[in-house]
Amino acid sequence: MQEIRFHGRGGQGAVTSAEVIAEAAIELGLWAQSMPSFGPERRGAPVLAYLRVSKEPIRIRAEVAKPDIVVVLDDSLIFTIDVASGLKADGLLVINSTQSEDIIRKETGFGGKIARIEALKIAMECLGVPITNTTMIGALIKASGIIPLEAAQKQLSHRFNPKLAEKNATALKKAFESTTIYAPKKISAAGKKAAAKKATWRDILPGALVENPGGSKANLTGDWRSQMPVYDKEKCSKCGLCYVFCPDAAITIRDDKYVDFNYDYCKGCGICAMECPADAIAMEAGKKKK
Amino acid sequence: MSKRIGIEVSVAVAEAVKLCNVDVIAAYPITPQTHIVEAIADLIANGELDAEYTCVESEHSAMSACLGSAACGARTYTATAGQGLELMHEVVYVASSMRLPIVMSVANRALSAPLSVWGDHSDVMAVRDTGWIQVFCESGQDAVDMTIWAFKLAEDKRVLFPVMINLDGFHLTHVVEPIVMPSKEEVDKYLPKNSYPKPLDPRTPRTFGSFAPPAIYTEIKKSQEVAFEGTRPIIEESFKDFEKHFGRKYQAVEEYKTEGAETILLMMGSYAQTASLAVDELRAKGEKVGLVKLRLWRPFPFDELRKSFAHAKRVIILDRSISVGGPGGPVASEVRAALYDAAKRPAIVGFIGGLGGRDILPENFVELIKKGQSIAAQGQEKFEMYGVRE
Repeated sequence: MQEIRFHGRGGQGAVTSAEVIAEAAIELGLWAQSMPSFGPERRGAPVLAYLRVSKEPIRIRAEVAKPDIVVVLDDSLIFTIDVASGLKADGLLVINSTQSEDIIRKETGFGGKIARIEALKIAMECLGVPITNTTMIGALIKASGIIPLEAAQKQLSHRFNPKLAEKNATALKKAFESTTIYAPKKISAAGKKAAAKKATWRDILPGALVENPGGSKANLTGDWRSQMPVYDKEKCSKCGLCYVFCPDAAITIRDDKYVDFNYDYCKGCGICAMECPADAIAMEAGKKKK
Repeated sequence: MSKRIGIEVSVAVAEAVKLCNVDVIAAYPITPQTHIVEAIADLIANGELDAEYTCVESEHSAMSACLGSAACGARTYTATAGQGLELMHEVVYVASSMRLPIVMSVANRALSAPLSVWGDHSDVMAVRDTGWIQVFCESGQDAVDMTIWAFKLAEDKRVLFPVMINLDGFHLTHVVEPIVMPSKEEVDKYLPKNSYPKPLDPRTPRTFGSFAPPAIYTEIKKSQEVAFEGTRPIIEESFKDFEKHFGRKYQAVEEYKTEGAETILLMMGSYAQTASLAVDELRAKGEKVGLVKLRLWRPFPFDELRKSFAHAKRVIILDRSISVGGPGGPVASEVRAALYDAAKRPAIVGFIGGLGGRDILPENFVELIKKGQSIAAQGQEKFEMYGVRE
């Protein structure tokens, strides 16, 4: 049995990735299981999905704690969470990243086989949206051979309309061809993130009271972004609708009635661009202004 | 000075609430609880009690309003019955989980269908596992005393759990009987001001009732269970403290003529008074029969019960509710579980009776005891419904 854990951000399609491979494997006569992590998942927040593929019936019904393969759809996650947690030393890390091998190894503390793909670029080229799931399937198949490429392509035609299926199949193939594989390498353990100490029942205040409300201020949700709003002041009519509709209060109105974007908190949802009657806001792929 | 008066039990409970200087009452009237909340409304309207009375649109809202009030540190009271308690159900759990010292009277009533406004213990059995401290009353005096006692216990900083006082619908709530009403001075001396340790306050924001993912929910439940278990010695201490102030003794498990008793009848609530007459009659004939009254239902007094039954050969239990398709009445199941590990264990026979307000007369109790003895003599341990027409 191969156990795979997907790390992504809400909206990138981690759950779809797991489902597509599971369905393809089942169609091939194998046994497979895909499972989302159940929780307050929302666009941009770190999310997980799990996948198991086996020649035998699968009886475990739990999250994947000791994966053979970890797939990371968004490399900003390696700086904040331990994506390699439980990953077997002889396992595989498939990552969408423009970072160097050294940085990936340093941040994840993983010395095993790595497959790196610049999935965002391929997704934007082939699909026109920063959704990297099918692209990542291509990289995963290249590095692991978990299912044949054709089987994944066939699933895409089940799932999407012909036009979209074709675009996704192209992305899949392109990713398969442009994945870089790095052989295992000895690394120092220094980069490994220390596991956070988990609260015991003795740490719980009466009534599970939370003494210091976290609030949104301490939670810099800007790193959840897959796209960012780019503001064209010349087109702005100063109507203020973007300020009204921003669900995160990340837009403020200046004294001169033009607006400022607070990229510490902007999740890149695109509502401002959608609402702007003057087309003064455009969504651009990526987390930062190019 | 306290004063002995003839008073309807519901009105006396309302007077006890007044004596406790309650800040907030949120309640919805439902038979047979109605007289309690009506009398409280009168006391507020007359200016005798300075409290906020929130007229809510349902029991679900009543308990929800109580959560907010108690979280702000206000002394909070409500009362309900039967279907009202069931409609309140999900919020009843929240009160305990959030450690809010709410006091609630439940005028015990049967559950629909068929619709019955009359008394039995079906309503409270459905909230058995909600994490409230739960006591039963035998008399009007109990109902008044338990109300005053409940506020002090609930608000004790070592406790901080809600307390539910069960009093049988009609057989207690609507009866006029002599009750010794404590004086304001006595209650003031007994009951300190409520000072909830970490109340809701905009000046020091806190999060109550947050959500918990799988990584922490189990730890939170464990902390609640440990804290709830920790109330056992404090409950015992609180009964002694009450006795010191008011001279009336209460215990988790109370016994009547159990000395040398080979057969013990066990039950909760007001029917125990009638049952004591049957015990007198059988004792007069030289039969070794006694009565055990379970006052404290949660936390269940396992140790005390084992002690009470140490020398009994058979225990006959009357449940006033039925667990359809289950192992008999809830009290009998609990007692059976309590005694399972005992080295020497009496035979246990369960009866279900007094449903939907059906009376059980002293001669019926004599018959019930005889029947229980005969079932036990046949080496059987089973339950059956008592007083049902064949």
